[in-house]
Amino acid sequence: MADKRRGEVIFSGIGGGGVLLAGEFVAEAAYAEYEHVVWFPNYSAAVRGGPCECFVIFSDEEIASPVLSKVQTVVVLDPAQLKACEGRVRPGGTIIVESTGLKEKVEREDAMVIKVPALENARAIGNPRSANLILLGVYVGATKLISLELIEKGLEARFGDNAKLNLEAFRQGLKIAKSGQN
Amino acid sequence: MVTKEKIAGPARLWDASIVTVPLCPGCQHGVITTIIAQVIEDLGIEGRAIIVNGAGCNSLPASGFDIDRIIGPHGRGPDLATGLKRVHRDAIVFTMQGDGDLLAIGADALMGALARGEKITIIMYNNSTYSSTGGQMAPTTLTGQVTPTCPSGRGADQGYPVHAAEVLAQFKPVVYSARGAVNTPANYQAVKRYIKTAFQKQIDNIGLSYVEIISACPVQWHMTPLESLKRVEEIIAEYPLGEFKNVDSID
Repeated sequence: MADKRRGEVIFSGIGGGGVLLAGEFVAEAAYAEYEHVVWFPNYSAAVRGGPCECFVIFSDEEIASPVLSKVQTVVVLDPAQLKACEGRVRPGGTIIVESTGLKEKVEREDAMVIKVPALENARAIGNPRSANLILLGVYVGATKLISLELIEKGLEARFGDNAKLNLEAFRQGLKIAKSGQN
Repeated sequence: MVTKEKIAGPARLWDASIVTVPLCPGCQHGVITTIIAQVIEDLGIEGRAIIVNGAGCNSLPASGFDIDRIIGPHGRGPDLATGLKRVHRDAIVFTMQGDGDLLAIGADALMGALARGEKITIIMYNNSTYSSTGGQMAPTTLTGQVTPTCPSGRGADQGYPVHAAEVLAQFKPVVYSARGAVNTPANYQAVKRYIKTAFQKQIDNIGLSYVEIISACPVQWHMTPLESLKRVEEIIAEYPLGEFKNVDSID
C-alpha cells in the first residue's frame, strides 16, 4: 500500500433507499485514512422515488473533479438503472447490482459484475430497508479500499439503538463479497 | 387551427424507462391531480389545455399527462400563464403551484396577474410547508408548527398563516375562489366541483379563477399517512373550506 491510493464509486438508485447515505458512510470512513475525500450527491426534484446518485472519491492526492464520467466501481441499487449505469465503469472496474427484480444483463465484458439479491436478503433478516447496507458491504468487501471497522463504527454512531440489524445487513454484504471471490 | 410540433419531451432523469412518477406514500398530490385529469376529460378540453408547472412535488404527477405542458422556474407560473394565454386566447391555461411557490417566491408574479386581470386558472396545493426541499416554513405554515426554519414553532415573530383563497376573492378580476381538501369522500367531490367551476370560468372567458386544495405531506410532517390525514383536519380548522367568491361577470 505504498502506492498512492484512490477509490472512486458511484451509488445510484431511487430516492428514499439510502443511496446517498451509503455513500456518506464510505466518505466518512475514508476521511480517516485518505488525504482527500469528496462526496457529491446528484438527485432530481422528488423527495422520494426519483432517481438519485452520489459520487464518492477518496485519494491520497488532490481530487480534480467530484464528478466523473467513468469510475472504478458502480453500485446500482435500483436494478432498472443497470443499463443507464453500465457505461459508467472504467475498463477493469466493477459493477455491483441489486439482482432482486433485475431483468437485464451486463453486456460489456471488461468489467466484473457482482449480482446481489440485497432486497431479498434484507427482507429475510427482517430489515427490508437495509438493502443499501448489504450492497455497501459488498462494495467494501470486494474493493478492500475502506476499513470495515470504520464503517461499522459509523453505523453504530448513526443508528445507535437500532444498529444491530443494520450491522447484520452490512456484514451479510461483506460475506457475499468474500464468497464471490473464492 | 393550431399546428403543434413537439419540441421537447421529459428530461432524461424522468425517462419512464428509469422511473415512473414518484410520490411519497400517503401524499395527496396524486389524488388532486387525478381530479384535475378527470375534470379535463369531463369538459373535453384535453386538446386545448396547457399546464404550467413549477418547482415542487405538485408538478410531478402531470408528467404522466398527454397534454401540452411547460415547466418554469419556482414562482413564475402566473407569468408563464400570462404569456401563453395572451397569445393563445382559446387555450385553457392553468397553473399548478405550491404554497410557497405562489405566495412567497411567486408573490410578485401572482400580484402582476391579479393586477392585469389575466383570465387564467391558478390551482394551489397547500401543505403548509416547502415540502419538496425538506419541509421549511412557508407563508401557509400554521402558528406553532415546527419546521426546520422555525424549530421552536412558528411564533408571532415569524408572522401568521396566509389565507390566499380569501385574499384573492377581494380582487375584482378574480371571479372564482375556493378552497377544498381531499381527506373525505365528500370533500373530494367538492374539489372536483370547484375545479370544474374554475375551468368553466375560463372556458366562458369570464375572469381569473383560483382553487386551493389542502394536501397531506406525511414525510415532511414526520407522520404516518393516517396521522397526516388527521392533521389535515387541524389545517381545515385554520383554513376553512368552501367557495369564497363565485360570480358570472367581473362587473
